[in-house]
Amino acid sequence: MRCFVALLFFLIPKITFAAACCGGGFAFPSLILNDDKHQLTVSLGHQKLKADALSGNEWIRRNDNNATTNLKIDAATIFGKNLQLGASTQTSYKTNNADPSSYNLGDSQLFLAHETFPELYFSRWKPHGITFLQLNIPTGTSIYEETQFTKLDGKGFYSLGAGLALTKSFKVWDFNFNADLHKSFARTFSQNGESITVKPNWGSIQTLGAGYNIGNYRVGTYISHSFEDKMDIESSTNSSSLSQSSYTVGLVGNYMVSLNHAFTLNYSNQTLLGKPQNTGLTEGITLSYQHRWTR
Amino acid sequence: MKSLSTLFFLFAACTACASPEYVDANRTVAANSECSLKFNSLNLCGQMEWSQTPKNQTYTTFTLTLNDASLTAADLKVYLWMPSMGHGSAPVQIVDLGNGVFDIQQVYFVMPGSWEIRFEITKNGITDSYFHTLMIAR
Repeated sequence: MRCFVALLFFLIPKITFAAACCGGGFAFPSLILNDDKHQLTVSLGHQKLKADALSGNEWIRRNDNNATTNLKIDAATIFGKNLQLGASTQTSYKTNNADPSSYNLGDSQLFLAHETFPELYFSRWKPHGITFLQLNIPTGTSIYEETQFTKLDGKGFYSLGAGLALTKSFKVWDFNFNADLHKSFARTFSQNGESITVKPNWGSIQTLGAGYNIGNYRVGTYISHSFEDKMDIESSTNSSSLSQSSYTVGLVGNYMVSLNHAFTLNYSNQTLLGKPQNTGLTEGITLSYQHRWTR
Repeated sequence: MKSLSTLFFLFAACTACASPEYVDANRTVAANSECSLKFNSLNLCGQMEWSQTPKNQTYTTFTLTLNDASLTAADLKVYLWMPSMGHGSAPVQIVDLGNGVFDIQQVYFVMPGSWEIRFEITKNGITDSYFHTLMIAR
């Protein structure tokens, strides 16, 4: 039973929602969901850009070997009775047929979370819930600063998001629901001597997942929807972008080596569901290792 | 348990399977017909002629012909813009060939998708613009 509960640590998939190059993408924080003091997660992922979704359900196939390999580190620590603080950063290696390959530093995130809905007694229906605030820091290079595609690994904006993560287990099944609402803030860039101010707006992510547990193993699946509202651009000519949305479907496998160590394998695909709009669609696989220190 | 499973699958059903219409890789909207670019406030029109089909991440050139021989490069601005992604591309170079004819060089689309070529003309203190949409294949 203890192993099963511990496996719930990993049921929130490690997904980073991002368009091919642009927009105010956001990533869910790697939260401590159970009775641990510290948590460190190292993820190695590989994503391939499969298509560009335009408006009106038109897609363009991408066969230009546009791929990203990224290494992400998430750390979180508990302080006080039910608060936690975390940070994450990532690097990437990007390739395509047209540009020289490039190593990049991605955006970084800080989060503050609160165990708002603790599971103090057994309930058939009441979930365990954590609310959080997350700040995206644009340490990566964005499309507004660089035209070489393989050097882009940042959204370009500070973003502040508020979210909720709910988990519930029942016998050998578990379920999770995550949602966030985030706002990205305007920033002025210099392009070839010309000043351009980009004003992003609101965005949101909703994820629903389920898993089946067998001993130290878990298999799961999830569906996620991401939305970014249009951006307003002010330069010598003012204009607006269009809103972006995408749907991600994923399969997750978890293996808990011990109460302190676990591996997660996550396959994700954005070309299978819904009508994505104005964004790049990727297929990818991520292997994560998580180490936890109990209280 | 059953209700949760139902909820999960309902969510899946609502989003539905993707059924995209793949865009022809060679589809490009041309503006070669006479007066395809209209600047109503200035009572001007123009046409474009590509030196070669514009492609993703390839420099190309087009000729812009306006029906006002008095216009110079100083009166004209040309931007590349991708409205869906909220960004542009590197600046183009405008070469004035005289008699309202311009070579627009260094036209470079940094990614495939739906792009706009934004023309802005100022004459006698009046500014008018025209956004020409085209599809850039990979």
